[in-house]
Amino acid sequence: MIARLFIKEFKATSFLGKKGYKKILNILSSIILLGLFIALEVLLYINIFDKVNVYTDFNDALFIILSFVFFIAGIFSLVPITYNAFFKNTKERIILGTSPASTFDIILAKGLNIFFKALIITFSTIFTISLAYGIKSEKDFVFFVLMFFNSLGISFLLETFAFILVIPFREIRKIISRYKIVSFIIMMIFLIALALLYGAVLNLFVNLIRNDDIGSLFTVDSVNVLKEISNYLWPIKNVVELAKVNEVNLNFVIFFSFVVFSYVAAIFLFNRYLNDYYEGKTEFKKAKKQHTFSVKLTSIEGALVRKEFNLALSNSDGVFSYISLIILEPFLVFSVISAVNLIFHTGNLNYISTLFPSIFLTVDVILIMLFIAIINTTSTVSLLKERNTLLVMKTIPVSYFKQLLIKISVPTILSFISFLVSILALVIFNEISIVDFLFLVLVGALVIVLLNLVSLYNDLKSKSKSSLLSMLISFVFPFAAVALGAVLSLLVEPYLESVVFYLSIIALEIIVILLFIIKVKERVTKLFMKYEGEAR
Amino acid sequence: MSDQILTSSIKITNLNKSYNKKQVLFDINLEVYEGELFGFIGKNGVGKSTTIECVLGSKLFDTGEILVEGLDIKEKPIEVKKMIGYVASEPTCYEDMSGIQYLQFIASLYKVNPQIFIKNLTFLEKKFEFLEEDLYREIKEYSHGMKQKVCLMASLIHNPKIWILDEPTVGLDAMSTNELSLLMKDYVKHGNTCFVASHNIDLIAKLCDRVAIIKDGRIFNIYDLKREPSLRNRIEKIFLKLYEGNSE
Repeated sequence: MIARLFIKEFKATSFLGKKGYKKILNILSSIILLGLFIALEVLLYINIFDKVNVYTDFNDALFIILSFVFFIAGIFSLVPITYNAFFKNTKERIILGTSPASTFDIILAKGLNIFFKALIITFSTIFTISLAYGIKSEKDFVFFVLMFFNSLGISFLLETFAFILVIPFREIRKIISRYKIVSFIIMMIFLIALALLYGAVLNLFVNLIRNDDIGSLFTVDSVNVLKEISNYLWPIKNVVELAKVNEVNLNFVIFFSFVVFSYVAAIFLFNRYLNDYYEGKTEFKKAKKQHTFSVKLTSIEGALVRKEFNLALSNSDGVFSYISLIILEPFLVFSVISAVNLIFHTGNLNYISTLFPSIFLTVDVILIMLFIAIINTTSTVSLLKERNTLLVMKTIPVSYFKQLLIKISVPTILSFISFLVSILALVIFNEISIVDFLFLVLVGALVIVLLNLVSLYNDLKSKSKSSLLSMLISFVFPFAAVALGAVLSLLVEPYLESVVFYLSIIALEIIVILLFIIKVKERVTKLFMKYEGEAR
Repeated sequence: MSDQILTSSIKITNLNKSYNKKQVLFDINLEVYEGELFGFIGKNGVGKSTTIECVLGSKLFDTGEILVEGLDIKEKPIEVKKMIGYVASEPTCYEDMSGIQYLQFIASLYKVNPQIFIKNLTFLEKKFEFLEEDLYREIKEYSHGMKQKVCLMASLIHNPKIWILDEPTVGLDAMSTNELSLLMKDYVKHGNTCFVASHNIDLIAKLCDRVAIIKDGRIFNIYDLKREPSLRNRIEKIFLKLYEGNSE
């Protein structure tokens, strides 16, 4: 039973989802990519350890702190993975809950799959740092062997925490999902924190590039504080100490006994919760609310727009992919553009940008267009979200053209608002001029319209979003448009350069959009009637 | 039927439809009259739903003509859709909306007058024994039967002239099925047209004025149960024999 359940779980992962030679290629390419990633990481960490070597004993503290950060990040990433494995598919509750498999069988089968993920997390982060630390500190071979086993133990600990924390995670999620406004506020806080973290990392990176010196990042005081903190970072501190002894002693046995004991205890606790879940005991008994009846009939357009917003916001995956990216866009655009502008005003690049003043404007515009493209290609409210309600769309007395126009207008408006906030921030903080801002509003708006049209056309043609056309418009078109603008701007007087640069991009965008509108409008009814989505 | 002047409500002439190169409908000819309860029976996958979707204008067809109340579906799809209330074989609605939101959404699209909406809603709630408090819950929390009831209510909220139902009794309990049967009968009494496709031969035999049997994309025969009431007891046998290979 466990074996069958495990095979079901393993097959469900996209890693082995393909068949035949594609499966082998998939595995091989994943192994090669992971290998390259680990090699790159080791080199990077060796470089970092090399630079912090100037501070006495700081290597040990940094090793522990970095490993601890990855340990916590590992727990945070494994909790949603565990949640998805056990609770996301609500139909599974009926299938598995009524099957002869015990909850222990289900936990072990799914748990093994989760453990593989924990292994990947640990070995691509903590073990990699230990390799770099070991090489830099010229440790014996025994250290690496012990760290290998310790990493296995850490993987078990990660899963232990995941099993324990997934219970409050689900309970909090249940409460939050009842109040949309609360879930929205929490998501906003989470996203802002993420954006601030991203900004901090980017600043660190820019500082490193500008100064080529780690001294600008750490002071003697901060190093001492970090050293002190590292002494309290359980369990990583203890794990590192175990490996540094270079022998298997009693502490090593105690550590592994603790790992096994806590793992078993977590499984027992989780088993109890899962049993209650399958029996429906963990669900809320909804309190009956009093409703005052009021008729809210709107115009056709109003009803369709409301439906589109509902589709975009109702699905939790949608909220965390589409809306989160829309909210994050201003932070990301501002962080990256200001960092790029800073780099272009530093060192040799400063010299180049003095010779060719429009170069960083060109880079800024490309980056902004690429940001818009990435956010739109991953987030457009597509026809796929309709699923079996496509039949509703096809049978209501509203023209397909109007319905589809409204369908793309919602993501277009949301993307445009986010984009406007992004470039407003850039102009307020003097990263771009007022003239650049005015032109960029138009450039960005047209790119958003174009991307949504392409996305709709792709959906209607039932092609995947990664189709060639989508790739061309999302990633090649920005370069082509900016290159055209840059070349044409070289042909005019310097004071007209930026105007010609922007106008040629805008002209190219308008031409491509018109071509698309003509192409889509002619065939929209036929394509939509043929379109069956994923429903059948 | 024959004593009255029959006005065509749905007229399908030489309808042919293919998916890629596979033809699924062959020269379908059907005429459904105003005030008639018309049954459409056949095994799974023989073309019942495809025929219906062609009538609704949601599927393209190769050749033929479909007239609804005299309007060509290809030329006047929006006008035709305004006259039809449709229930799919599976509950098909926006499940993130509450029942009341979905009904208001549909009513808005059909430009239903608010007073008529309230009147129809009150009537349908009572008919389908739908509690008002349930209307305020999200549809995804409903049982299969409740979802189907909301879809049935949505299909009638705009007072359509033609009611097309594709397997409407799937997921409904005996009481609701009985209520639906009475509603269909009542509906046609007011001069409306009801076209119902179902596996439930017993229901079709009891209810319908005429029945068409479809096999392998072709209309095998049309039986007038109103004119020959004895057929009501024999239609199941005819159907089973046809599919066993011995046509009557």
